[in-house]
Amino acid sequence: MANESPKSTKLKGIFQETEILMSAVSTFNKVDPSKFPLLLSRVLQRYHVDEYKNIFSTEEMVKLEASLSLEKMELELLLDGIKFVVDKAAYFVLKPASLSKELMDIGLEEERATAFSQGWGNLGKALIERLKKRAFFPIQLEDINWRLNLQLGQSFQSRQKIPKAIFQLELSDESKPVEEREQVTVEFSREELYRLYDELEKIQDQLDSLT
Amino acid sequence: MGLLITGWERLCLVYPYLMGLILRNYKNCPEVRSNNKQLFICYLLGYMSMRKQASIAGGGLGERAPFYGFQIPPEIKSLFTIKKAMNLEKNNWKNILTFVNGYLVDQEFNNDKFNELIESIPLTEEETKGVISAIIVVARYTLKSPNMRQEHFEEDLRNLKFPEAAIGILVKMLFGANRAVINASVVEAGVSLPRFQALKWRVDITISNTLLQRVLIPTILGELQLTNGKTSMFEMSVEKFHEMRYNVALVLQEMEELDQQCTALKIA
Repeated sequence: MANESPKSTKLKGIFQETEILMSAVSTFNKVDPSKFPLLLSRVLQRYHVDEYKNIFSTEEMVKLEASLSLEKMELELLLDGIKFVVDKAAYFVLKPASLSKELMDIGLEEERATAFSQGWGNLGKALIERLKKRAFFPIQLEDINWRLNLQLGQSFQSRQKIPKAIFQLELSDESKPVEEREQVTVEFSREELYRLYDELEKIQDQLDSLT
Repeated sequence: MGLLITGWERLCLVYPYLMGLILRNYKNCPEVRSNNKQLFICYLLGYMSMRKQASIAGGGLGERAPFYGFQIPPEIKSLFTIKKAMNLEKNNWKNILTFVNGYLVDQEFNNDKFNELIESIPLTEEETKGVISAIIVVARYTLKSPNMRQEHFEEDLRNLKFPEAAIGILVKMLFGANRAVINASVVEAGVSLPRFQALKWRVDITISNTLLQRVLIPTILGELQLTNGKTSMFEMSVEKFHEMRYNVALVLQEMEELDQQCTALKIA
């Protein structure tokens, strides 16, 4: 055990041989290998794109059952297995060769393992980029709109010439639908806008120091 | 001013009615039609009365209207009825005007300061309130017209027989350096949407999360504080932050250009 390199010790733990995984693998092995690439690419393209939708609609599931000659339960197990493997591959940023080896280690047949890692090689990177962009904080700044006005007078003073800017920030909330997004409206005089700009410059300095 | 009308002025005010009468008769009496001398006198009367009316409105001094408009505001009229106020000493006026200045700058009526004021001057509470209303009315009219000349202001007050002791201090309060302070708070207190107070921020780098072992992407967490007390906390991706920074810079640039355009077009 001591002679093994640390890397292989780490990788050994990727796919723990649980009962469920084993039955998924045997289902994998039952499926016609030629159908694999298309299925895989479909999953990889749609996974983690819209968290509120299933990867396949109910009609699509029925069609898949027919084309892969699987029962409903088997198809679900197959898809869960694929998602599980993809999650692990993304987490460790596995290279296709390593993924292929890991899959074969848990019993996936060579032809299918190769198909899997090929699909991962093509579309895996895009998936990882998508995951990196996923934000954890529930409230995100989505959109910035503004309007510039010139104030010419008010009740207590005429003959003014004051530029005023109105900014509207659209904030998305994870827990609310798109229609209920909060719009934060802020008014700025020239001095106030300069103050905001100073703060933004400080942030930019921090970002610059990171690179 | 409007209290005493001379005989001549009465005639001029009545002139339009007279003219109407004359014209009515002129149409009906063919004998008058031929009397051009009469007509000429009527026209002359009319012209002079118009000039006189204009100058009555102008305080009898020329074509300029006083800063408070064509009629003396009721608050100022009632000030003149408070005998004690008309004879107040200079330092009493100073206290009153300091209080009013505080009110204009803070935009709120401070009860403690008001009570202190009443104790320091020989006027009752009602009388003090009357004096203060008059001063505030004067200040309001002055603030409304930023182009008012100091000499005109003094002239108008003197013509009104405003207490001389107050005029000097009033001028110092409403013209010169203090005016800029009052102007700023008038603008502040004006109609506006919630304004920017502060942006608190934090730059974070996510090392890893549930889905990825190595993320290493910076994000910015911001808390925007507004003048109405509301705070909004949100996260910005680096891309959105750049969009925000770009837009703020763009608006600032547009403000500068607007300034130049205004000077060029001589707006206000």
